[in-house]
Amino acid sequence: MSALPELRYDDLAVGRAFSDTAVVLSAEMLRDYAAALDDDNLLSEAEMGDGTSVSDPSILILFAVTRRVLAKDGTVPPGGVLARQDLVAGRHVRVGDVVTSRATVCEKYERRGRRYLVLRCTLTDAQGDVLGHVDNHIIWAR
Amino acid sequence: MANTSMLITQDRIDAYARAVQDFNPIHVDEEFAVATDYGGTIAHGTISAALLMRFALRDLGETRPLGSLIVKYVTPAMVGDRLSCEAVGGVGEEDDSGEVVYRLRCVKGDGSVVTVGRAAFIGVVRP
Repeated sequence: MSALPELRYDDLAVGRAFSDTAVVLSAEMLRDYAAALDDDNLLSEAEMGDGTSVSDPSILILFAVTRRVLAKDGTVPPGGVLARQDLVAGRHVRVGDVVTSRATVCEKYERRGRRYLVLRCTLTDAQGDVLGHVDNHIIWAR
Repeated sequence: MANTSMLITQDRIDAYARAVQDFNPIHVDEEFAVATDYGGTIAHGTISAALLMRFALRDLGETRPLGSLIVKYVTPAMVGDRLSCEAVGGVGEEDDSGEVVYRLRCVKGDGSVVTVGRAAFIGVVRP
């Protein structure tokens, strides 16, 4: 298996779509998330198992991590920084859901000599219903 | 107004890294991180976003459903920092679209800002 190419800012046109990535929201994943946040509500939701609605929409951010959503298409140069995230919540995700993320370059801009790329991650469940979307505003590494 | 706070520990960062599957050495490798400008491991910025989300959902006393949360990452949080959340001005304001918007921030113990946020609740009261 060949190594993935490093993505170049100048090659990433607005509208470029990346391969879908699908991740199951497992109880273990939710337990780790709950442990990191000391969140008893989320921990009890993890213990209730598949089908349990997750009350905190910030869980959607887990499915929009840049390296995860670009994993099939290339690598991001090291040194980049996440400057901003816009999360729009739809319906609640459930434990056991297969969450598919489709990432698209939706904007590029420069500010104070820094190059930004906005990667929109649209998150859907197995039925294709939209769970929400996350826009990652990335300061591209020089 | 109620406050949400959290002590940043390496155990917490490691657990978050497992959940996110983001093992960037700046977060999880102390030996690597001490050689960087930060001088040690830093928390994933999204931990502070999650903290602000919890604050928005549980501590603002809002009955409207949350529509969106926008966060801007200002300063990294280091191991040993205690983060807390607050609503600037304490109350939400209705904007032109009918959303009720709160300006939030997550700060360290010394008052320096880690993350600023904008939480928008859609303007329909739950039955």
